[in-house]
Amino acid sequence: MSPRSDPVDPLAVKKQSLLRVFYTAALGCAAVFALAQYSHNFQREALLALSLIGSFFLVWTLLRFLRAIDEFERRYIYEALTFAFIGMLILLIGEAFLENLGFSRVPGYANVVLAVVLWSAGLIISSWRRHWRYE
Amino acid sequence: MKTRLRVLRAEREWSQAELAMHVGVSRACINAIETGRYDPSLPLAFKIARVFGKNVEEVFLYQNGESGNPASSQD
Repeated sequence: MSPRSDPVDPLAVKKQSLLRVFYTAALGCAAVFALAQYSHNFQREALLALSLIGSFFLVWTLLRFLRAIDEFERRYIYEALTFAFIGMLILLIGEAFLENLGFSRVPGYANVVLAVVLWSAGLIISSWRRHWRYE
Repeated sequence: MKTRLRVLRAEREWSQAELAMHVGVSRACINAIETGRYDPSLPLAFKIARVFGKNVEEVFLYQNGESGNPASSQD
């Protein structure tokens, strides 16, 4: 009997492409936002508006990704979100504590970047755990 | 929960990926159900059973407190 190749799963392809779009948009937003810091007047406002629109697109992509996953994967996404939430809570408490001690304030966009980084780390950890448990 | 998924899949010569496509879930999900490491939700269990043209109790067998469970005697 010849070995059969598994069919391409359109759901898996959709999820992968949504994640790819999410990270591309995140990088794009970060680049535009960073560029805005070195611009002036109208150009700065236009770049900030562009990064804001990009952020909405980012959230929309994330929601589409969350809708595309099945109930089994939802467990792991939940783990990643829990990891990111607790991580952010600890970081924000630390930031507030350091700010009260006289350290300079951490800008808001840095916290957004941290949230995305923590969520990504949570995804990597939970997918690693899944691989270790089930594969 | 015990499952006859592997047997039913083998009867139809379906791979896990093919079954996953029929049901609309990931291959990892089917793998986890088959190996008994994940219990599907009721809607998913019904969906899987429907794909095989069976009743839920013919595909999934509840193991705890089997004495009064008619499904447990079918395997």
